[in-house]
Amino acid sequence: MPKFLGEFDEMILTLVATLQDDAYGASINIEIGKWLERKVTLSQLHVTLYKLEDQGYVRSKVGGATNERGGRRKRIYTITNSGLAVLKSMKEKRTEIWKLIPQFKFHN
Amino acid sequence: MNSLPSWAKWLLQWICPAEFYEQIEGDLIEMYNHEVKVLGERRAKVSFLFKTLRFIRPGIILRNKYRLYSSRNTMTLHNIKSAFRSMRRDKLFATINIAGLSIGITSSMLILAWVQYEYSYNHFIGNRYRCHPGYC
Repeated sequence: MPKFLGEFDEMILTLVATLQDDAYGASINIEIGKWLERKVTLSQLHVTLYKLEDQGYVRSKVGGATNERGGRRKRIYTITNSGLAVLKSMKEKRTEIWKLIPQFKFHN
Repeated sequence: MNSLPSWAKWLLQWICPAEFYEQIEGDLIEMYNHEVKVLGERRAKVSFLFKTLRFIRPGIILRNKYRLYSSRNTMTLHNIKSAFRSMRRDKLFATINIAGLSIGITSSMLILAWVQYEYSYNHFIGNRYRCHPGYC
């Protein structure tokens, strides 16, 4: 049986997959603001990332420090195969149902 | 960097799990540096403090103390598994137990059916509770 994620979890998992080697807390937060024009608190993002890691959808490693972040190292997340499978199955199911909407028949 | 208050750092160190503390602090500082360019120093500082305070939440504080995200069925699955293991270990005992329990349940259900049948007589009589069968 395919598992399903919540809307917020799915969005973050998609962003982790998109950003590839540059997916860590602050960059994901900035990208959410840029792409989706949506404000997300950093702590919420961190908690979601830890949860996704517990569920095995992302993997994390401690990466390089930059001067911009005061010499602190990053925790860089990468998506796992099971994470990609979940994303793909969710997208397919959604388009499958989306196709069932009768087109050109929107009533106001 | 030096302008950021030290109590925020102390608070983070106290709250956050040790393996995540450095990355969380780095993310906060990076967001601060990003917002200085967009919002200006004063508002970025306020936003930094607000973001730091928002880290006081169960997902962060209780992370090492309790398992928040365990499966809901873990306990039930464990109980079922240990029941099957003990049944495999004591086969005779399990057989007697299950056979006894099933005989008991079956007989009680049969008795229930019998009693229901006995109570189902004479429903066509108006005040049937005041009627009694007479035997010679």
